[in-house]
Amino acid sequence: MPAERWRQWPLALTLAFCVAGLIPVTARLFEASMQAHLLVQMPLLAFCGGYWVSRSERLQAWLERADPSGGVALVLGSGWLIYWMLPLNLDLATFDPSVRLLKVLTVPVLLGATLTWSWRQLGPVGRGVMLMEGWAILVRLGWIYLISPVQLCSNYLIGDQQRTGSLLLGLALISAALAAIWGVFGPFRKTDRCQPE
Amino acid sequence: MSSRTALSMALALCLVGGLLWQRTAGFSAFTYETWRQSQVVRQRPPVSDWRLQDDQGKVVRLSDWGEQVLLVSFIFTRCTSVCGALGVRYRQLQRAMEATGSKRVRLLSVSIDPAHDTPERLAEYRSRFGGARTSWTIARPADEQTLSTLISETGLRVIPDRTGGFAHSDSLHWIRDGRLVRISAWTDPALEGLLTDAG
Repeated sequence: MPAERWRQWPLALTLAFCVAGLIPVTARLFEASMQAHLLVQMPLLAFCGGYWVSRSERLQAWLERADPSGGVALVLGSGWLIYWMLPLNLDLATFDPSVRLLKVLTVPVLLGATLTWSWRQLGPVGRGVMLMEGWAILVRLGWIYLISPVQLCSNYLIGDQQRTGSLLLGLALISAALAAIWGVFGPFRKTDRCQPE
Repeated sequence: MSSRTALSMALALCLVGGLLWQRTAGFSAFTYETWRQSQVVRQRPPVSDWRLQDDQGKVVRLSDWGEQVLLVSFIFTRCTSVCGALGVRYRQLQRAMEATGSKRVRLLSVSIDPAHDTPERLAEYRSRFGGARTSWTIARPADEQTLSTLISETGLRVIPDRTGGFAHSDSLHWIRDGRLVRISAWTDPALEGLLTDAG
């Protein structure tokens, strides 16, 4: 069915993006600057995994049996997020082919897919914690990269590092503003939901 | 939360914790530079007999130093940042060696920019600090092959910066009996002890 097949193109696109992270020519495009590596390639790899989870009903059925609460996925996802935030791993992925392979294979699955699944399974409090923690990570990491007098990645110049730090803090600022707007006008208003019984 | 879920979460925590532990050498190395240091202490990787050309144009080899501990730092003469500090530090260590008469340690500065750093330029670098040649050798890799060999053997990362120079590690590489035995910061106070300690 051509119509059915046509609908597969986003899936093909995500797979192509992952493969592009392995082909030296395209991999170097993403790894050339710290900003592209940490703020474009990594989030997009994670997004690919998240997309697979939200797209595949078979995968969801399997996850429903394996991890109905989303707790295991949350532990795996946040642990793997910490793993790939280390300057060491960012560095190694740019010149050690085995670490690059590990990145492309595991960031979509162990970071993107897991965090997406736990987000789907968690209640509002859990989601709030995830959002707050995600925001805190942006601030912490951005602040460290911005003020560190030491070049933390051997492969990226300190100017690159500081620009990445500023961008992370900028993202934190934007998300804080969005969260504030959501908090004031969104579904958390007392009048909307918390009516006395 | 069922006990099965709790157990699975604990296992998942052990898994990612174990992977983190393994990568960071026991939660101690979070940057490539510190990781390289911990790997060297563990593996003591062998280094080949580098062919270098010193600031008098003479070819020297790593094996010429025999059993002496060689402190190797990497520099380039156009460098405006840490290479100057490294030179000052080497002169300071050299003075300490002269004061004690110790022959245990020798100093070696290797240029990572051999195309530009001719023996004359290396001699000019020395003249900035005024160290004698006897215990401090300043040299460049004798050929391109040696440059890439010493970079891969030490795990050094050299990346071009925006001013035509390079960003590179300022650590000191301890080489003894053809092995890289330690990488330490140039500010490491243990270096003074190394000059005189026996063994």
